[in-house]
Amino acid sequence: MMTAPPLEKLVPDYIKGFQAYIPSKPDDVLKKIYGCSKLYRLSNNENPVGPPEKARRAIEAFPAVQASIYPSGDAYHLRCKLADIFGLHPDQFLVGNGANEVIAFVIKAFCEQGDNIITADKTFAVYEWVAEFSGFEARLVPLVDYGFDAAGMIEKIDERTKVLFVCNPNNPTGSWWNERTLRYFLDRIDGERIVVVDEAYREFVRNADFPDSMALIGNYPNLVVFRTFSKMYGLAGLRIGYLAGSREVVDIIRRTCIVYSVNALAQVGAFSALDDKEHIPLTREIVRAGKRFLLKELDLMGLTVVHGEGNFVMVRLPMSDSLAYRKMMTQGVMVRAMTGFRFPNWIRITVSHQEALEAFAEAMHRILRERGEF
Amino acid sequence: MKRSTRDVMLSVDADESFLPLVTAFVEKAANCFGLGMDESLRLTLASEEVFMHLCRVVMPSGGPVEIVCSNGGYYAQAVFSLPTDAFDMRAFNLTVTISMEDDADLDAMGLVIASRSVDRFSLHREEGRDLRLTLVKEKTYPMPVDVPPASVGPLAKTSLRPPRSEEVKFLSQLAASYYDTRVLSDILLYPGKLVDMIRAGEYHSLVAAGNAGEIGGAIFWRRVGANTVECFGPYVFNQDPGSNIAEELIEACIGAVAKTQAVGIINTRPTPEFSRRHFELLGTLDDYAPDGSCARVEAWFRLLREDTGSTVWVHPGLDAFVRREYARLVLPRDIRIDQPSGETLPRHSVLSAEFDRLQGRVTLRPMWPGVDAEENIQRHVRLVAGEKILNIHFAVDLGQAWQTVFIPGLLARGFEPRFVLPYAGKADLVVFQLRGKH
Repeated sequence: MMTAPPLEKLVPDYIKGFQAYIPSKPDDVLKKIYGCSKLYRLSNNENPVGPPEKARRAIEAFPAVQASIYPSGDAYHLRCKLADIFGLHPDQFLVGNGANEVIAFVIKAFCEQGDNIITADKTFAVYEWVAEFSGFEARLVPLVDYGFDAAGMIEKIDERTKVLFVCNPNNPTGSWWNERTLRYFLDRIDGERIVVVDEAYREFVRNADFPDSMALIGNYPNLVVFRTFSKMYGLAGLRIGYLAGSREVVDIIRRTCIVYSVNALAQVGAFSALDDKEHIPLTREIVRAGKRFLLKELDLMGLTVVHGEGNFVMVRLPMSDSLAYRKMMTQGVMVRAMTGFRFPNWIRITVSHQEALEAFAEAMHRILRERGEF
Repeated sequence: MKRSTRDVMLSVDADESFLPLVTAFVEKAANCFGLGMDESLRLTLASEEVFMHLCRVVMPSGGPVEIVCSNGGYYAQAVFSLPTDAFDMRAFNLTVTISMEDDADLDAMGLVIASRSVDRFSLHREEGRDLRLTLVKEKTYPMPVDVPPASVGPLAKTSLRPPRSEEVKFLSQLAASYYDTRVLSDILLYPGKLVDMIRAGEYHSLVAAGNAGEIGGAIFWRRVGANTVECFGPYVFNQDPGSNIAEELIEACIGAVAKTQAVGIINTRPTPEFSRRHFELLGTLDDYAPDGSCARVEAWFRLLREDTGSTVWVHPGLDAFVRREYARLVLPRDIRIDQPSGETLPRHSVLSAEFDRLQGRVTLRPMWPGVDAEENIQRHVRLVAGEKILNIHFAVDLGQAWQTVFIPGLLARGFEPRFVLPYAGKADLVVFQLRGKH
């Protein structure tokens, strides 16, 4: 047998120190490990409604024989449809295998050795991860009152800053910038750097003061907007998301884009999802009712809650979140332990359908009772 | 790909003619890395003995040996890598004695000298990889004498940041002024070493500082093994009872390691300000002081990730204990029962011994299995007890099935399993303590 490769010599230092993201095991495995017969997933902010009806029908009608044909390499029809909806040109869109992939496209397109990106310390982790495993510095700015700190981010900029990532609304706190704040930020950046506004949860927002970022692209050619079909559109299992920006900027990003990375079924599902006019109001109503129930229950338990826009709520526990996760799992409820988001002792709960939220509330009650906290 | 600039490497054949080159290489490297004359010579002597042993006993027909010397800031190390496992490691037991009448013993004499010349050694081999023998020699640091106690007043507002290098020594002064040695990291008693270890990235610290640079509190942490972070503190210096400094320090420490390779954090010397709600109680150890008094010390832990289970290898004698602990801690584990079943074992087992003389404690760990496992444990207990060390611990890695060979001996010789330390080894560690004073 040959000896193992000399990894010490082969692996770059920034990879050696990097911690791989370890996703949850599949549900059947987790149920076996934790000895539960049913598992409510309240950990990934998935839509409890599932995909829109029109997307379901399109997916069901997808001819199996088409699986042997390469998909459109750049999601042509979907880009045309997005262009119609947002009043932009199809070449202003790039579609990726989930929003995670388009994050990598942007960082690869603009950063070279010695460059840095700026984002918040307690936000969606993938901006920081992609930068670091690509060998670039991620400068992290502490949240202020659970929200992105525009002035703090601007202060961190130096001549090697290429991209600033703003998660709006922020996962996991739900805080968000209104149009005034976003414009202030973009004006201060003055077109000198790329500003990414990740709007993964945009479709859940009901507040009229939320910025229309797609419309701002015309005024700010350095603005790049991310959206996903994984959350509101319930297509997380198909992995599809997109970015929009000015033609000049998107043309640069396209050079790092992996063509054919978005499968045909995902393209068909996303295309049809955009046609469904009933899905968003229905989901918003379920989230509104679920959030009201959840907040009331958590208030009765005396727990501190942070929430805003989006289909999730963050809760501070009087115990380790990783212990709460394990205890919840034995009762068939999966929440997100937040230590990995740098929020130790917090958990994030997806606002789901009533049965799942009741299971969560019952499990949480039991755990607190066992500890004599409730 | 470039190797770290803290490393220098020499590749030679296992041939005695290279001995002057090997010794010169190690000595010069140790000098360059800042070891004193005495320490450099000790590391050189150990390396000389190891290399001679390889040439004469392990690889008499020659073969490639790679030696990497590394600068650890507060220590220098020499790592020997060789493509063989035909290495009787008995001589690396602290307890070994040499008979001048026995040829095999004489062959091992060099290794005995090597093991006594360095502060730490370890032996590592994974399937399909070279055998790696690591020799570590630390710099010598003085313990400060006649240092006046330091003090600080209550602070209205603080923010967290890493200490500046000039503040590090003052921190150790503050900690020693306000806290009993039982809750201090040993390193705080050697400020020079603390400075070097922080510089080397082996220790990390955050302080809660006032606007004028006053220090109201601090926390320290370090990696122990691949998966665990050990934290010390939080130390809070003369702040108001309502101060939130302790919790802020704990949360910042957890946040700082949350996205690293560490899987869990342990604290075995919690201060009164330690935030128990951020941790889980693993168990306790009896801490015997030289005056014979005994205090119960709590071991606290928290996972940094969602636990998706793992497999552990457990001797039947330990089965009931680990099942009870896994149920209490709600840790999902696939428990596989394993015990020696007549398979051929090496003649001599090897244990490493990590001394903490300040705390009067030694921790023994299996390095190599052998048919003499129980006797070897007993020899180590006798030797350690003879050195007036009152607290004798033994750590068994449940991820290494071969370590089950030590369990019958441990239980027979009066060791008691005290707690499970999740993911602290290849899988979880079980920490044993020898019952009573010794």
